[in-house]
Amino acid sequence: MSNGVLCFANNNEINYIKQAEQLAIRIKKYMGLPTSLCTSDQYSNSGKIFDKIIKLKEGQPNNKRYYDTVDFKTLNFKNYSRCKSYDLSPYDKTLVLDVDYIITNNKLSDAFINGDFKIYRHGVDLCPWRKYKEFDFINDKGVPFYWATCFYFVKNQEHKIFFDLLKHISENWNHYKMVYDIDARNFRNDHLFSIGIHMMNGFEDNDWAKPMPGKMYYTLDRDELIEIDKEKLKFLLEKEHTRNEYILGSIRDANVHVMNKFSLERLL
Amino acid sequence: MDEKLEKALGFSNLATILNNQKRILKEQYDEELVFYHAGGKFKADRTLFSFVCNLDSEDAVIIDENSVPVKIEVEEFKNLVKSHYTTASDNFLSRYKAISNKRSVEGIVDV
Repeated sequence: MSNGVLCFANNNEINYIKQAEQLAIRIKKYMGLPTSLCTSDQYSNSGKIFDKIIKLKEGQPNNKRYYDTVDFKTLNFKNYSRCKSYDLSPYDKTLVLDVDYIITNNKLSDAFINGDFKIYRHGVDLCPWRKYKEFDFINDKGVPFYWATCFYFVKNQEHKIFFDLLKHISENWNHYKMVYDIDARNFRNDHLFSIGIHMMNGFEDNDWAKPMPGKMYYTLDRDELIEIDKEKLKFLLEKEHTRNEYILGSIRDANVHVMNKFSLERLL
Repeated sequence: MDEKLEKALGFSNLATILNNQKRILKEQYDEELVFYHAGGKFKADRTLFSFVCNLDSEDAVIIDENSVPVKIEVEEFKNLVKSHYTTASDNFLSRYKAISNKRSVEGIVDV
């Protein structure tokens, strides 16, 4: 049985492939696993950082506002291929990660102990005051929110059914967006996976999807990553009721999803 | 960056930062208590610790964190729970002490 990590990177003004390289290097260092890159960009892999390069044909890009603390840019982004992870993965057991995930330990290796589909239902915000209901439920009807940032699956019939369902939802997004009363302007993989899991759960809050091991710590794009020192990360975290004011925060030996992609790129 | 950093430091409230770092340490403590054994997921907290210490059979069935029943060998499992509880708690104590003694923002976040 082969185990490995799959990540997706399609460059715009942000160099996602560079971020994917840091992810693959850290995955190798802390978890001893190979990483394959799915991309629609040209990439030579001369440094053999990635196990395999999987060529993507991405559809029409979305427009999205990317914040770098208080400043922002509106950029194109392509994120439609994640639901094809089952078909694209060269591994029997696959961990899929966002490229802006900083790995500093091997806790995610525990996902490989069995064949349950695993995903985070909750994350831990490093900022002390923020409580966003959009990260709890995808709508006002109480359909749970899941983070498509990080998930684990195996090649079996049940998981194939799930990913085929995701492709169907993705192809009919406007219909499902309306049925599930999602008011986000852009397509989000978090919403796609949340709807798919809700359906796999028999349209109830059930436990078909098991929690990923460890915790997913995260910072938003309103925060700034200011230092990476091996296993220690330091941040400026948005201060409550203020604009452009921050508190300092740090964390050691924890896997962190850094949503301010500009600040991550500055430190790579 | 330096200007932002200076501004952040200027506005920072030592107590806010200290409390946030303590909150993060507690989250990491809860995370470290979790371990996987015999295909099950367990949290080596005080409840599980007390429970397994009172088991007097060779084998037992424990309901894991995902509500799945898992058959375990008691002595081996007891040692695992004790080991995870002790390691996580010792780490929590040392990290907590390290930041509690600091009297500056830089000192707290540099631990």
